[in-house]
Amino acid sequence: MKAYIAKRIAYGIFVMWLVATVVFFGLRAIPGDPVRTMLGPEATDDAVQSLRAELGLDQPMHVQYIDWMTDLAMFEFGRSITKGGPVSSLLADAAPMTLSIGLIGLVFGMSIAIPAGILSATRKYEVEDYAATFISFMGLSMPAFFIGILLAVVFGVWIDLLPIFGYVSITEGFFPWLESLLLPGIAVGLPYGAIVMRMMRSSLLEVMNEPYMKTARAKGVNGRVRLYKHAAQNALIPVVTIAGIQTALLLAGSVTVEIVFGIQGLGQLLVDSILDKDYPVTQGVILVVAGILVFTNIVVDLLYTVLDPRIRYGGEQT
Amino acid sequence: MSLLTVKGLTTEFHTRRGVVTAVDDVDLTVNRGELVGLVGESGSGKTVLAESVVGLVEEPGVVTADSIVFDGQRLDQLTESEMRTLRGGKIAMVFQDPMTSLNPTISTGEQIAEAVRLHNDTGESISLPAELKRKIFGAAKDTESWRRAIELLEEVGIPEPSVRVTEYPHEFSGGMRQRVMISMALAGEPDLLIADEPTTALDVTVQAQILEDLKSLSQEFDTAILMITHDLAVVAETCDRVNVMYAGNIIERAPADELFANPQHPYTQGLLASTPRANKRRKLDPIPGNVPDLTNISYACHFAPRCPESTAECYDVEPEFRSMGPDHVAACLQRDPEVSDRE
Amino acid sequence: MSTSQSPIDAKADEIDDVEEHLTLRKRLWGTLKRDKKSMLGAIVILSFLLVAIFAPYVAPVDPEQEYGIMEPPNTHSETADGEAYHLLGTDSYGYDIFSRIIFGARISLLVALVTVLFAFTTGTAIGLAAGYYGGWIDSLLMRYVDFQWAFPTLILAAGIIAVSGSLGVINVIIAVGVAFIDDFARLVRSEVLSLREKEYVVAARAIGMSDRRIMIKEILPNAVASLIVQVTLMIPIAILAEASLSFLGLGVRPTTPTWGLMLNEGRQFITQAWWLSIFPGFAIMIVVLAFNAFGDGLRDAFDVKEGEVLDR
Repeated sequence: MKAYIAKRIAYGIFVMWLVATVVFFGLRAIPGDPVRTMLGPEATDDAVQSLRAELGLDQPMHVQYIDWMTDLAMFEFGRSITKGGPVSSLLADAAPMTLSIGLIGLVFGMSIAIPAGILSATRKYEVEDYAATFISFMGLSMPAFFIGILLAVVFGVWIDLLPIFGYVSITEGFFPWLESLLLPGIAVGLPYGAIVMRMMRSSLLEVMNEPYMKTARAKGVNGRVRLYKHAAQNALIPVVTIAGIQTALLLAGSVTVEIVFGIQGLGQLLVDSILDKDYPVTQGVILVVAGILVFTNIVVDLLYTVLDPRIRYGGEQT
Repeated sequence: MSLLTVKGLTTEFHTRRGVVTAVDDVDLTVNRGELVGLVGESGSGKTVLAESVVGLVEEPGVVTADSIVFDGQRLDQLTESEMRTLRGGKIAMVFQDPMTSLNPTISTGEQIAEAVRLHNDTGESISLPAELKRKIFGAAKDTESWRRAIELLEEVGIPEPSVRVTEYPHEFSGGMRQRVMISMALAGEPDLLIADEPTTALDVTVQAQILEDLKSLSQEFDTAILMITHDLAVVAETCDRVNVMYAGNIIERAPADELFANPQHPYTQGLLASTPRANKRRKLDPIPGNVPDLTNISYACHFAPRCPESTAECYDVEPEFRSMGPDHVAACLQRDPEVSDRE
Repeated sequence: MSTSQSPIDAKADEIDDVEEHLTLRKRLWGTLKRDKKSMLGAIVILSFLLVAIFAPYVAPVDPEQEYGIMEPPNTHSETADGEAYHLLGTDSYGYDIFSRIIFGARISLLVALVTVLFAFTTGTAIGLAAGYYGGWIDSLLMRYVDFQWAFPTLILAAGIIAVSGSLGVINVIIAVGVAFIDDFARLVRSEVLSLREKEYVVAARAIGMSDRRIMIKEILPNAVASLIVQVTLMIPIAILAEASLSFLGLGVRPTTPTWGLMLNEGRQFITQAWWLSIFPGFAIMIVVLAFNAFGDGLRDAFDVKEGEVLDR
């Protein structure tokens, strides 16, 4: 198991290196002079030169590359052109908001999807199944930001129940924090839950047909014990895979949804930086997003070791 | 004395394409402590027959029977929960593929101990919360069911049972897994063990050992075995009596020695002629054609289209069992009763 | 078709092709007849396509014509050349929302179709080459897959927009298309890997058929079912991606009528005028729903496993 975890972490580091390298060269592939683009047409040559020196762009390529990697290893992303100040502190301010939305979405999505998936699979082709399938179909067909707008109109404007603007830090209390993020969280959690629910349903149906489920029946195990003791864990293994892959959806959802609710998270930072051509910030956001995803995927890999004894006690890969 | 008597059992599957009659009005008897073979090609309905007896057939399958009597009890009149106490208890099953028949996420010990708890009075709770607790936190090692699981593993010849009991199925070889399956089946001290192709998925050398084990366990516990197989060699090796099944019908039954020496039904004869034997070098003679599609068969003898001896009559007249000798019957219109000098 | 072919070969190919198309079409039609859900999906898709193509004739008014701002749905405006009816109201610029949704269908569907077409052709070519030749193409593809592993499509597309330096339809197509390439490349690659050692491919190679011909004539037709399903299921994802980019203000230029941009403009006024954003959102939902329903039906019809085409 140790070898397996070490391998997954090494792969995560490899992917981060790959992403950093692509971003490094991507930035240098920008047509024209990025420094001049950043500063705008009215900038003086001196200003351009000094910024170029500050960014290290006057160094040879390999020196730039090594500097870039060492800076990243120390979480140094440079300084923002338009906002001033280090990019890392901008990211440190913005990331918790986006992560909070994603987290609430994850909890909401999972807590709806798993029971609904089980219900749907055990009542196959009955009313419950059709209802759950229909709702998940709807969830899959709406972008998170539109769900956010719908929720804001219904629960924020028509029935004035929840705040639809701004973010309250968790340091000011759990409930104010939750209240400020409930609607955005639901908005990103719904499409996510829809996918997880579909997977839970099909995975459970598949597991129910496995020979070991017949063994359990032949052994005289009753239906509920069969479902929760014999089937659930096996069914969860592919669900965890999908849930891990779909964290990307959760994150992309958070980025758009925070704009609906006026939360100054990574999404707002990304959009502003792209429109302002504030490249150090853009690359910082991209690297942080990649880092979050790589991290969650490592967490998912660790979850496998809990769920699947074949990984826990042997080298067997999924 | 008969342990299991099945009369007029029919199992139909209602599919979009029509009704598939997998088992068609079949009678079957297993005596106490006896080893009975149920032989047929894949698709002949032998597994469905066995599963119908113990109520394992699921939607869209429908089982009807005149009567199914096990140990004086009418199985066809039991509720699902009454049936559950019998399943894995007095009637246990072993399945074909030990690789997939054990749950990969539960330790083998816990899988056996669960069967022990279900069918013995160990004083341990078998409620859902209790079972889930065992699943999540591991089985308690100082319980009777766990001790019994170790004993059962030892019984079926697994070395170092107190170590292996905590291991997961993927850590066992195929033969070992089948032994685990057998030990699980023995947990309720069954009177009847239904073994559905128990050796098909195993290596040849392991096959013989498993069959020997089954035979000796059957004697030790006075357990009757219904051996379902497509392999006549397995039957020859283990069984006292044999039922031959073809396309949903049992078409011949006889004591094993008698059947091999003196097969009567053309299908049985064909089956024997197409089976290779190591000690006899002769030309193999496969039966032409395939097992028919069981959807809406309209002719009387299901073997007629493939039968070298069939006549027009075979398609119209339902073949009744005819006595072919002591304890030997065959359902074929082309055979005269009590004439046993053919072939 | 190459000229070196003998007439008999060509004839045989023709028969093969006809059969392939017939069965595909038959299965498609069979699905539509059997599965009401996918039939409904197909009808909705078709109507959206027709509306998009004939937008100037279908739309009640010019989408650039300004009326009173934020008029609620079901109102009338008096103009110089008569009365205009606003079924879904007007937006913050005073444009008629219904007409803009109709013109928005053009951009949304066009972008989605071209994006998927772009990703399909490049992805299939890369996947074929990677699966068939292996080697550096394969390594490069797999590294690209690793790279994408760390990115939501939206963020990757935003990054590409940042690099390309400007907004616009073409940039959106490239940005989203590039992010989708790996979906097709992976699918085709895995199909090729499983087909490469099949007897008829080995036989084709043994009789000296060229690599290109083997790929196009022997391998690709066998991946068609999965590819069709993948395309159908990628289109709604492309629609969502374009809408998301436009919503972020990173898509098409402002004031172009697209659903995502309408939502972006409308969200600022949700407290005063809900209809600005709700109706374009429903347009997205309906068309995506239709594609999903149709794709699901196709997947069942072609018996493609859920895991085989990527579910996002």
